[in-house]
Amino acid sequence: MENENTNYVKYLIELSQSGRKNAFFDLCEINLRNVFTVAYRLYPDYEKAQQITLKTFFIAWENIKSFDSKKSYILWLKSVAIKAAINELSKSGTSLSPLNGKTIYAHEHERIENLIINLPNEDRIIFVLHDLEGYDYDEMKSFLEELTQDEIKSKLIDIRERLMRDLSL
Amino acid sequence: MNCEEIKISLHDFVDELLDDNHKREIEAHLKTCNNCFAEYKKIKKFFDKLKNMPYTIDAPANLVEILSGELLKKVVAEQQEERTKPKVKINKLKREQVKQEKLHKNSRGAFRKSRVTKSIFTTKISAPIAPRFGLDAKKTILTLLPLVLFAVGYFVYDFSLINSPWKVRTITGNVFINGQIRTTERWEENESLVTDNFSKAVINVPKTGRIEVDENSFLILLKAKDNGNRIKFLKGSIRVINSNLIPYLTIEVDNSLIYDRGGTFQITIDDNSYTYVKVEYGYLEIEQKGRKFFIDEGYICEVRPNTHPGVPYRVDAPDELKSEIRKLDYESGGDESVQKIISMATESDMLTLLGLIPKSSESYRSVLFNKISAYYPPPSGVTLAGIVKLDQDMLEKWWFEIEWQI
Repeated sequence: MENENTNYVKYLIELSQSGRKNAFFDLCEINLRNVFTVAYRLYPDYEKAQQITLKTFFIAWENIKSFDSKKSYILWLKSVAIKAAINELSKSGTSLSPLNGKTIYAHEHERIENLIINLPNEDRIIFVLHDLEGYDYDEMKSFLEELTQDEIKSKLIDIRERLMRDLSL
Repeated sequence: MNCEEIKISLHDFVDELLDDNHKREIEAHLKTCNNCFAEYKKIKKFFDKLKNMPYTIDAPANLVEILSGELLKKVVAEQQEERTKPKVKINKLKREQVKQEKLHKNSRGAFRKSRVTKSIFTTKISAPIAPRFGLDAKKTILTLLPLVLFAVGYFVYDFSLINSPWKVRTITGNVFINGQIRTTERWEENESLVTDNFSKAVINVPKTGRIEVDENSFLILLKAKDNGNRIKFLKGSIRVINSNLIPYLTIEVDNSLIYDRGGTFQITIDDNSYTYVKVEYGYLEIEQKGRKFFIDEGYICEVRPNTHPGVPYRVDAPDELKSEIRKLDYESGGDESVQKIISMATESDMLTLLGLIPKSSESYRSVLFNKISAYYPPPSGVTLAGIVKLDQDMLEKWWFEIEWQI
C-alpha cells in the first residue's frame, strides 16, 4: 500500500493515536468526501451512505492506535468503508430498487452516475472498485472473496459493455 | 491473434495490464483492422466519459458534527463504564489482595506455627561466635554490586541523552551565535542566539521539532538533553513546531515556564516586555510559582513582567471581552470585570471562564462553576467545593473534559 499521507496527515494521525479527538475530527473532515463517495457509490442511498461513513469513522477511531502511519490512511479508511458497505448490501438482498427515474440530465456524468447506481449490487461493486476507485483484481479479491480473479475480470468486461450500450457508444 | 481475441484483450490494453510484446501486437492489429479500431475507440470514449465524472460527491455538511456528537456519547459511555469498573485499579487490588493473603497466611496459624517449631528444633544453643569479616565483606560487595552496576548504567544512559549542539539554519541575513557569525551553525549549551533586523533562522530541536526564529530575537540554550531541553527566550518572536508526539522542550519567559505539550505555538515578546503566547495547534502548559495551567489551540495568553500570566482567551474572541480580561489581569478590574466577562462569555469561551476561576473571589467561583456546568458538566470527581478551593487536579481534569469537546 503506497503511503499517500501528507506530513500534516501524519501529524494528525500521531495526535489521534495519543487520544486527541480534535485531531481525529480534523482527519475525518479531510477524508469525509472520499469516504462518503465510495460509500454512496457502493450503497446508493443517501442515509445509508451516511451511516456507513459514520461507522467507518467509528471503526477508525477504535483502531487508530494500532494503525501503521507508514501505510496510506485514506486507503485504510476506504477499505473499512468498502467492507462496511458490502456487508450492508449483503443484508439488503440481491439488488436495491432502481433509484432516480430521471431521463433528462443537466450533465452527462449525472447520467453515468445514475446508470452505475442502478447496476445490480455485485456488478456495481466490481465496477466502482475497479474503474472508479482504481483497485486491481488482486486487491478486489479481498473484498469479493467468493469470486475468482478471472470471474471478476469477465464480469467487469460484461458490465462495461452493458454501460457502453446504455450510453449508446 | 484474431479479432475476437483482440476484442477481449482490448480491455486489458486500456487497463495497461499487457506486456510490451502483447501491446505491440494489438497496436499493429488496430492499425490494419477497422472493426477492432472502432471497438477500441468506443472503449476509449467510455473511459474519457468516466474521467469527466466528479472524483468525489458532496457529503452532508453536518456529518462531522454528527460524528463528533456520536463519538462524544460513545466516549462518555465508555468513561462511565471505566468509572464503575476501573481496570487498573481492579488489577492493582487483586495483586495487593494476593500479596496480603500470602503475608497473612505466613504470619498466622499453621504456617507460623510450623516455622516457629522448626526453628526451635533446628537451632543449636552454643557460645557466641566471633564475627567473620571475610564473609561479611563478600556479602557487602554482593549487596553493593547491583547498586554500582545500576549507577554506571544510569550514568551511561544519562550521558547518551545529551544532544548538544543543535543545528541552526539561517533563512535570511546573519544569525549571531554567542556574538559571532558561525559557518558551522551549531548552537551549544549556554550560548546565545541573536537575529537582527534582517535575519531569520530555524533551530532543529532533536527528537522534538523545530523553532522558527523571527527578526530581532534573542535566545539562550540552557540545556540540550533529550529529556529536558530548555531555552531562555528574552526578546522577539519564535514559533515552535513539533514533529514528535512527546516533545521535551521548556521555554523560560520572564518568570514563567512554558512547557511544550505537542502542537504548534508562537511566543512573542514585544518592546514593553509583554509576552504573547498563541497556540495554533495542540496545547501547552504554563507554570509560574508552582501554579500550572493549560492553553488550548486557538487561544492566546498574555504574560506581563512581574505579574501572573493572564487569563487565556480565544484568538477570535470579541474585542470587548479581550479588553475586559486585560482590565481584570492588569488594571485591578476585580469582581466587576469578572461579572462582565461572565455575561459576555459564550459556549466557546468556557475554557476562558475556567481560567478565570483562580483569579476570582470565592463567591464568583461558584457562579463560574454553575455557568460552565451548564455547558460542560464537570466530570466525575470534580466538585463545587473542590473548584472553589482551587483544587489543581480538579481544575485540570475539567479542563481536559472541556478541551476535547469544545
